[in-house]
Amino acid sequence: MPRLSRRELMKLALAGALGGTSLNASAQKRRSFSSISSSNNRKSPPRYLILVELRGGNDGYNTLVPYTDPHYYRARPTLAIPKDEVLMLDESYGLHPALASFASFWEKRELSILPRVSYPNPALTHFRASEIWDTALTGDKLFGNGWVEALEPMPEHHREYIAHGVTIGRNSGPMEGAKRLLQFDRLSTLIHQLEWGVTSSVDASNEALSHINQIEASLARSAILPHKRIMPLPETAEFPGSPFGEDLADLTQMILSGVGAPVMKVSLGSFDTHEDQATRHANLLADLADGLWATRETLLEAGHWPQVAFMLYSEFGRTLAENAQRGTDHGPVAPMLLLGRPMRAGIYPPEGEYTDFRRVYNTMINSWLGTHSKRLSRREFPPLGILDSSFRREGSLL
Amino acid sequence: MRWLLLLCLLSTQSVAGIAMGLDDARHLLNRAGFGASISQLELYAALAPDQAIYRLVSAPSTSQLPWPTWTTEPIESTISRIRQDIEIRRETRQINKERRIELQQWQIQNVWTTPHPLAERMVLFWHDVFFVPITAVLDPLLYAQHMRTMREHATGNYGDLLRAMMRDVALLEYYDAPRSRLSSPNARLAEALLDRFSMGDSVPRRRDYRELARALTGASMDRGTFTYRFDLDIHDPGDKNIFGRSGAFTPDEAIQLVLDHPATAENIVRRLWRHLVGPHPEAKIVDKLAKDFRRDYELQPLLVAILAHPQFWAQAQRGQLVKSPLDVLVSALKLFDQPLLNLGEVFEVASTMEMPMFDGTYPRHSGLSWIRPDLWSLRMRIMRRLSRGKEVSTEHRGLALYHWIEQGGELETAMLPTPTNEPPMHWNQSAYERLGHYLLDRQFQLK
Repeated sequence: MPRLSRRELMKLALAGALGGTSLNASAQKRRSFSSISSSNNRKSPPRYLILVELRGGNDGYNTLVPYTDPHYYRARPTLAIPKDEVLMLDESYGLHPALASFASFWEKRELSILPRVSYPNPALTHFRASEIWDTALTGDKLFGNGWVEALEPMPEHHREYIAHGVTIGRNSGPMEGAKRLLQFDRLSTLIHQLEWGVTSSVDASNEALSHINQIEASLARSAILPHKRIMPLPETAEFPGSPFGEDLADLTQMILSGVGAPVMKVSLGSFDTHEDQATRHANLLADLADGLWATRETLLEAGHWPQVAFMLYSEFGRTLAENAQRGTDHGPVAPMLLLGRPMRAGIYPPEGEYTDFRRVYNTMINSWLGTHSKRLSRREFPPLGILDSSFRREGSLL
Repeated sequence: MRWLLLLCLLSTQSVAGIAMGLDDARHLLNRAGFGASISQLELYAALAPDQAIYRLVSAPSTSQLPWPTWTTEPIESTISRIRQDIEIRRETRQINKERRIELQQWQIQNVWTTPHPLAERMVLFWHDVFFVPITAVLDPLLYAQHMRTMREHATGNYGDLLRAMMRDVALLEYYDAPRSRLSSPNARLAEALLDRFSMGDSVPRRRDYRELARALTGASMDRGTFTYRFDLDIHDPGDKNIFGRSGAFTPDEAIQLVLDHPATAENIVRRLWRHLVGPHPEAKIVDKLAKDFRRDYELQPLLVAILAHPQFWAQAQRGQLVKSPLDVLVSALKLFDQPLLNLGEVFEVASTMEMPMFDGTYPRHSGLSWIRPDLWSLRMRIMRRLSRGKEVSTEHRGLALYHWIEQGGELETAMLPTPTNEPPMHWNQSAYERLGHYLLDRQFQLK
């Protein structure tokens, strides 16, 4: 019997408690909504926006390499990617050699790149910067809700949406505060737990721990995952054996089983490469690219690939210059990569110094999910034309 | 002093002189304090248990922070403002509101920054025993005075503390003492004295409350100077029968009867044991400690006896107590070595987690009721927020903590009372990710 991680429970607990008593009511509403609108939506399958957080501040200059820029090579005597190793995309930019799978996305015309993304007065501390990316708020509010909570209307007309947000692994920040959330570490453990109830390896002589167990179990029972609908992955699926690869396998399994959410999230890290960056960064990038490619292949074979768009981001970038420890420090600007069939492939340099990340958010909120954000006005943060026109919705759900 | 002798006795035992190590240092500082930074942990880890206990117990309970300046204002001047016209009254209300918050935050800051954690723990312990809600006291100056008195005796003498509290104006006012008079004795103060302040509610009988209430009539205050006054005019001079003894007891004599009753020492010992050691004190141990304690009610020997007790160090006690919201927050923040939250935020977050800061009492039963479904979810949510704040900025990479972890410091031992049940971490987790990992472990909620 697999051992149950109580962290799973804990995260479920959060989902349950936030749903709270409104859980049944909203489930009921969802049912009635879907029964009314199912005939209308039969032709438009659910869409998924997958957030991929690169925790710790990804080095943009060695992800999207400005291989024709002499400053780049001067500033990075040991870390710069030699020109002949760069996977060239156009006459200015190329990819890190570990991102071979991303080059395949590029060939398939499924990769949009915003080379310089930031926001006014960017924070360079992990805490604050993550908070800003998670909330899309630049004010000083400490415990602000995530940006997903501010979607209106919340896209929930699909039977396949079992929650507003699903987080696999760490940091559910973008979804914090949304009514129905699911967060877990490993899908198989979660399913086992829902089928067999909660068992525990905890020493029963510890009253306090047993008490916490009980509380978590009671919260887990109110979880919202219809586990009976979950189907195994096709045997042809080949995901990397890394934790990130397993996260993506879980994500894929949920989408294939029709138990996802409009916004789903995975994360990879730590990209905080202050010293001896080269090998560590290359390993992380390879893990990232190979995992996403495996996801694509699996979803493509099952016919679900056009329903998915990946948005890759990091709380900040890194300095152009390398430091004395052959690493890089926190820098204010980083590229954002978006992957998927719906993307209009290309590299989109900013009109000014940088592209505001909230414009990218609004693009995916408006044009991909077809809804709006109460927090981000379209006038202030107009959507970008980075989505293929045949996929664009422009808030058509309204 | 007798407790010094106790320590000498201790040092002759086998533990003496042997550094206690990280596991015991964490245990001691989580129980007798509010967690610790890595440097404090290492400092204590190098001490022998008796040295460490001596350090904690002998520390003064005076505040290490200056009191807010307004707390030295004369009380009459502020009270008289209340009798002014409506505009001044409104303004005064606003000022008082701010002052109450200032006092609450001041206490939190003391807990957070004190070099004398056991003293602060005792201050909060007594605030729970002698509970007077800050919002129920008209003038925050009176409350500040209440806090001073409490602090003065926090690790001194329980008898002195009880006597001082029974003359404390804020407390008397809250328990309706000035309105308890010969013609209509009011049992509120008597009940509080027995149930809360001394022997607990299992011993006294209804008759004791009534008779004690009669004895306590006259414990009042001077409305001009807001100081304690024994008012003979409203005191019941007749004979009372308390705990089977008869006499024309005055308030002071009645308090002495309470102190003489063996149940008082037993109850205080039991509560302190539950606060510091574990939820189920053995009767035999309580009896022994109470017998010594009752001789003079000196708190320092009692604290030494509890902290040096083999039961305190027993593995079976580890992780048996639930951290209060303040425990959790302060222990997390101390570890980080850096101000992830400001004082106002700590106060706000602790309040959301239902931490009483002079405005409510602690839950009983070893704090199990800190963990309710809603509060547990909230706790975890706050822990996640904190864990994401694990790296504050580039310059903080020079922090002792970071190096300590990188150099193989035993983070799990430094943070968790018993080994975790979680699966091991992946190779590419950075030092601060590991920190976040343990921060989210439920064992971190225990001590």
